[in-house]
Amino acid sequence: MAKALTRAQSRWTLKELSAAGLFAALTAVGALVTIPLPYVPFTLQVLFTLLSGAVLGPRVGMLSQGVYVLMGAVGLPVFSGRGAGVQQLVGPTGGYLIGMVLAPWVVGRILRASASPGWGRSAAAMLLGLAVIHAAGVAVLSFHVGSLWGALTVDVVFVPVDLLKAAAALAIARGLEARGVAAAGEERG
Amino acid sequence: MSEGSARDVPVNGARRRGAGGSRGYLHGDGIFHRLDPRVKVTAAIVLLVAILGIDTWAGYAAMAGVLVFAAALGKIPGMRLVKAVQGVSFLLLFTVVINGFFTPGASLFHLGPVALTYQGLMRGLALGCRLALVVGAMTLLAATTKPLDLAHGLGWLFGPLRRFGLPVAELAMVTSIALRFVTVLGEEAKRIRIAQKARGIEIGDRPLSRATSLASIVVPLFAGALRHADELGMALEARGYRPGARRGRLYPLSVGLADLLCLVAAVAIAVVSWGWL
Repeated sequence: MAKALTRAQSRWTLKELSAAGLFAALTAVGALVTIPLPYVPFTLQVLFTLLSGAVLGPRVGMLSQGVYVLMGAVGLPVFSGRGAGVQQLVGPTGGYLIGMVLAPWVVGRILRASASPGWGRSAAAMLLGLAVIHAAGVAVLSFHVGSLWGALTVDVVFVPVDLLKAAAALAIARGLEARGVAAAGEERG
Repeated sequence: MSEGSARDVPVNGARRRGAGGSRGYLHGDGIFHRLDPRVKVTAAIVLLVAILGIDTWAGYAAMAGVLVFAAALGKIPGMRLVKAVQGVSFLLLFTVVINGFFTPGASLFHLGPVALTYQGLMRGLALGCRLALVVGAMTLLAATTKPLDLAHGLGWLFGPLRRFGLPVAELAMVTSIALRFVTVLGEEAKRIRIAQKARGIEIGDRPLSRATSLASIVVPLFAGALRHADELGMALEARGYRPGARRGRLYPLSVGLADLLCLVAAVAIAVVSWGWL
């Protein structure tokens, strides 16, 4: 009955909202955990972004990443590299943040389209989600740099590390699936 | 999860981080700390509009002066502003360089196929000044407003957007939950790290060993966190919480004379910067 009540008031249940809050926090913490790799900063943000789509589903996953970006936009120190505020959203790397909001939707939709997604579908979902982040990132970056080619060469540096993160997200998502950890996500169908 | 709980008692961890760190909330008792968060958020947005209206060097200097003065008034160490701008130094440099090289105009010197132009350099510097000022203004807001209050103020400000189908109440609620979880996760990560150290797992300095040992932290952290979120949702449901419903606050907010003065000052600055600077 409680569920019926909350449903009538809001498009989200409370479990969905708290799970979204958790993933927004996880992404924020993931951005702060920096492993110093040579040349490229390694953070866990993208891992949690992809995972939010897989665990929470398209709608709630998108909500969680939207809140994460919102938190950074108002000046809370949740983006990697110490910067925060609206300037990050409109800055050269802002496209990646926009992509991070869109990616969970793509990942969630692909995974939820099947009752029991196998390795192939899961891997495809993660890769496409990653592609969305990079496409949005390159689009905005090329606008700042003035050339698509220049933006692509910058972007390509991050691809190998991000593939690793996608693989990690895939492994964790499969692991949770196997253990039957169903977070407050949407029904599959 | 009552929003008022953080009004007088500092959010767990917020004080510790604010005292030592260079960003986020700074526990204190300046005049800006005591203002209504709704007023502060509104005033900060008015200030951003003001910064966008400036396009003279004198104007940038004047605005920087205003921010430094405000910091002194609110008992925020000036170093905080400097550090915040330092934090985006890469972004600043990027802005200046990109604009300098990609704006057509009289070239100063050539670097391969591209040339640094005078117009571009000036434009880049001007944009950089605006960026630094925006960072400064946001830093003042973040340093004097507790994160939960900030979420509340923004939720109030964007409340009218609900009519257009934007889930404002839900966004504000998820934000406050996320803020709570950040500290919880941080503490949990520390606990797990200590537990694993006790069992002989070394978090090494080399990147690879750090990455593998990190995996042993992430997995248990994840399982515990999902359980936390589930319990929180259940607890909220059990207490009849409904996002977006009207409810009271433990510590009611009120707009006083100081709040009005702050708003008037912000509007005055905006008018001056758009009209004269």
